[in-house]
Amino acid sequence: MNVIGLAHLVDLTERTVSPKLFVDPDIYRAEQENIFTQCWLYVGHESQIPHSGDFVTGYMGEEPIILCRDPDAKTRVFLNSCRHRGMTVCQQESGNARSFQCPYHGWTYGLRGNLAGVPDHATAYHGELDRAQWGLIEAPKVAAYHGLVFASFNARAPSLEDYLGDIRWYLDMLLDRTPGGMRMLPGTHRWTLNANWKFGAEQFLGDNYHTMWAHKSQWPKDAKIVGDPQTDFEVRTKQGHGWINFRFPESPEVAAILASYWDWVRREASTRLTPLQVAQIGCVHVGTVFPNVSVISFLGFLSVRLWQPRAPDRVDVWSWQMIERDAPDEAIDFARDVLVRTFSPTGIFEQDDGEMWSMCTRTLNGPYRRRFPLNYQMGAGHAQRDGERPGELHEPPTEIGVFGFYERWRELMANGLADGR
Amino acid sequence: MAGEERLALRLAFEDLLYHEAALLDARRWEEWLGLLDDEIRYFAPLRANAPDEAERFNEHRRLALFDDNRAGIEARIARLNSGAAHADDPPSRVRHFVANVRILDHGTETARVASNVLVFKSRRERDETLFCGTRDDVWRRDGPRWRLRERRVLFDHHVIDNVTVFF
Repeated sequence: MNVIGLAHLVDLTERTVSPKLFVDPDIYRAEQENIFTQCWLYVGHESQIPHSGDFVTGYMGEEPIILCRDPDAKTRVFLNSCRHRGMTVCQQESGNARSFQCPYHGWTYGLRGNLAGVPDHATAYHGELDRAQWGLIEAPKVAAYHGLVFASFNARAPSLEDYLGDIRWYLDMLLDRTPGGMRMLPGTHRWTLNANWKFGAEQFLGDNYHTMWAHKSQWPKDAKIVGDPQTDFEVRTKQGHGWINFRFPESPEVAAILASYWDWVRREASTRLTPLQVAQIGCVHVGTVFPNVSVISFLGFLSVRLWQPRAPDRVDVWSWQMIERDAPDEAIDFARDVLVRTFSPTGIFEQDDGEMWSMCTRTLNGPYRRRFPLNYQMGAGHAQRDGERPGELHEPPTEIGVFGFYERWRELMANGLADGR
Repeated sequence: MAGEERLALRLAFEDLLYHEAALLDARRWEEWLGLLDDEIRYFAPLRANAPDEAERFNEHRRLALFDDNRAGIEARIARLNSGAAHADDPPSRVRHFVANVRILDHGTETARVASNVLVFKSRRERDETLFCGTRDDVWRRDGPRWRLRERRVLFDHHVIDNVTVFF
């Protein structure tokens, strides 16, 4: 995509974004190429595949994949597509397999992706098919960060650590606070919205402006977000990731249930994290790692979700719950129930967000509406640096982080992901 | 149970389930709450594309589409009554169809009743959604009435739309 077109789509001077980003089929297709085959994408959690042969299926962009553990304990990501005609070789959402067999003609692949079996190889292929050349297509890059497994189709992508960059400090304070680490609870929430995938990604990245409006039904009267600059802030990173952080007063009932959990987490975290990171424990955290994986932590739960693009006006949301392996039972049960009730397909927060993203996508489709850009100016020029917290900070609400997402989007649409960035 | 007695019980529960459906369609939340036992568990497991799906439903702490006690249901109703339930403003048009009612088990204090449910939701101009599922209820006798003690809704959707209605 040429730079002149992009300058119009994401205007760095005016800090506006064209409605076309959310509705145009050509832009959507270009994103599949320039974003989803270039970036590191979240594919699952190590705790979902502890043993050899364990697998979960999912997507990188629109492409079906298998995340599995091979007999050498290596984590691998394959396209879920037979090399012969393309049929999916794994039909289940998760499980344990010794091999993946295509149901169409029976080509069979080992857990390392190798083509292990071809029916009638000796006769029909006269023994001449070189099986070594026809293994499953494998993502060239797979790496984990505190248990979160990412993969990239881009062999020249920078290391995952470099790609995550400034957001690591914030992820660490959620993922690295106890020695036992995190695990996913079983089950995946999956729901679908008539919305562009970026609306969810940007809101989780840095829109704390909507909270008291879209979620007015859940917002305590007179509750204010801005208080302590130590804990109430939003973050823009140059890698296009972003973070929202604020303390939300827990009711006495909730505080009583979670008190021993938070005490335990703080105690463990104080030996692993900095005092400023430890000070964030128990806050609300919401963030997005570019392009399409978000985290949210609220009232004791921690959830990871993927905004899976399906069409310009269609996103499937997949969401999981994660908690410390050694968390007390009471906290796990409480956190699970809160997540199901608030941020799930039936959630009393989630329902109203879905309505917003779907209707935004619908109205922006109009040919006349598309001529008028969307405003991302909030907070422009007022970002601050901090001695310890990486990235640029601003008190909530602000749109510095959200616009940073589109600045990064523009960069990648123009140039792809260059080495070492 | 004699044939006539079984038929009478099924008809009684059909009446009750149709009445409940009418309350939900009419958004008569307080009256619907009156049908629920104080100790209700309102549960909808997540489906799984896997041959051992049925075993997964009982997996400890597996995420669910609903897993509410009475307080959880009341929190949902409080949202609907808040005047700021944006996904349901103006109110959606909702119609519950209840069918295939079967008495699975019956004692003096409880009855286990299965039914299929099809819910049509129409929103704004033409945002129309169908939800399909089957329900496995335990109703508890409370004097002359029955109260819903447990409901398990098994949805026939793997990826589901925004769920804003009760089943």
